[in-house]
Amino acid sequence: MFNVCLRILGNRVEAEDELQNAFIDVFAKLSSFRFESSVGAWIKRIVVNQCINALKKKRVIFFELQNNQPEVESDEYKPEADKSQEIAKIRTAVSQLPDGYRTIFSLYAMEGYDHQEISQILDISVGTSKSQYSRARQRLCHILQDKMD
Amino acid sequence: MKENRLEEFIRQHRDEFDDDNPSLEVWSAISKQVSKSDSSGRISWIRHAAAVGLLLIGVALGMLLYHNIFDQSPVGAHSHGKDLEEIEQYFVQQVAVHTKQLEGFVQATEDERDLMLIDEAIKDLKRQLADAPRSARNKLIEAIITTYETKIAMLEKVIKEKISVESTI
Repeated sequence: MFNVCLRILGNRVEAEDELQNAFIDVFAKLSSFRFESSVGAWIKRIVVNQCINALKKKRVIFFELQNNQPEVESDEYKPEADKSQEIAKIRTAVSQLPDGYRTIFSLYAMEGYDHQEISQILDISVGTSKSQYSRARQRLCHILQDKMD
Repeated sequence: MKENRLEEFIRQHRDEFDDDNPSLEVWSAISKQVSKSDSSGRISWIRHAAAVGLLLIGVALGMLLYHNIFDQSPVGAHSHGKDLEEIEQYFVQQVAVHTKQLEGFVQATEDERDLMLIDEAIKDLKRQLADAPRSARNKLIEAIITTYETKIAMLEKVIKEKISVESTI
C-alpha cells in the first residue's frame, strides 16, 4: 500500500502521511465494511482515495477533455533485456511524470483499475480517463526513450 | 484501448515494482491512533483481516498491532522464544482441521481472495524472516502468528456461513 501512495503522490514524506491517514480511516470504517469486495480491494480503494484527495488539495486538476479529441497512439516500447534495470528505469520514468499523468498511469497500468473505475475515483469522464492515460503513456515512452539515447 | 508491450511488461513483473517500505514512525503513529480508538477489545475476523492488509505494507506494523490490538490473543503469551517451526506446526494443524470442515462447501469469491491474501502475507513474512537479522526475528515471528490467527478467524467465519446455509436446506 505504501508503494501505491508513493506512485500517486510522487513524494516519500507525503506518501507516509497519507498512508497513515488512510489506515486510521480503514479502522474507523471497519464497521461499515459490507463485504461487497475483498478486504484487500476495500483497503486499497481507501488508500487511493486518500491520496487523490491529497492531490486535489494541492490543486492538481484532472482536466476534462473535449469528446472529439482523439486518443494518442503510444510509441511502441521495447523493454531492455535486463529485467531489473528495466523495472528501475520505468519506476524512475513514472516518478518524472507530471502529477495528473502519473496518477492516471499508476491507477490504470500499475493498480489495475479500468477506465470506468478511474472515472469514478477522479470524478472525470471515461473518455477523459482514456485520453489522459494515452497521453501519459506517450510522455512516459518519450522519457524512457530519452534515457536510452 | 490498444495495449502495448509496456503494459504487458508491467503486468508480468507487477510485484517487483513494489519494493519500497515506509519508515517505522508510520507504524508507530498508526498503532497509537488505532489503539486509542479501539475500545471494544473484541477480536473479530474483520479486524484481523484489516490487520492483514496492514501487514502487507510491512512487518513492523504486525508487531505493533499484535501488542496494541490483539493483546487478548491466547497465543501471545507463549509466542516468545518458541521456534517458528513448532508454532507453525500448530497453526497448520488448526488450519487443516478448519479446512476439513469446509469440504464440499463453495466459498464466496471474496472469502477465497481474502484467504489467498493471507497466504501471500504469510509467504512474504517467511521470505523476510529467512534474511532477517536476529534482532528482527521475534517481530517477524509475531507477525506470522498474527497472520495465521487471521486465517483461522476467517475460516471460522466461513464455517459459520456453511452451518447457516446447511440449516436452511
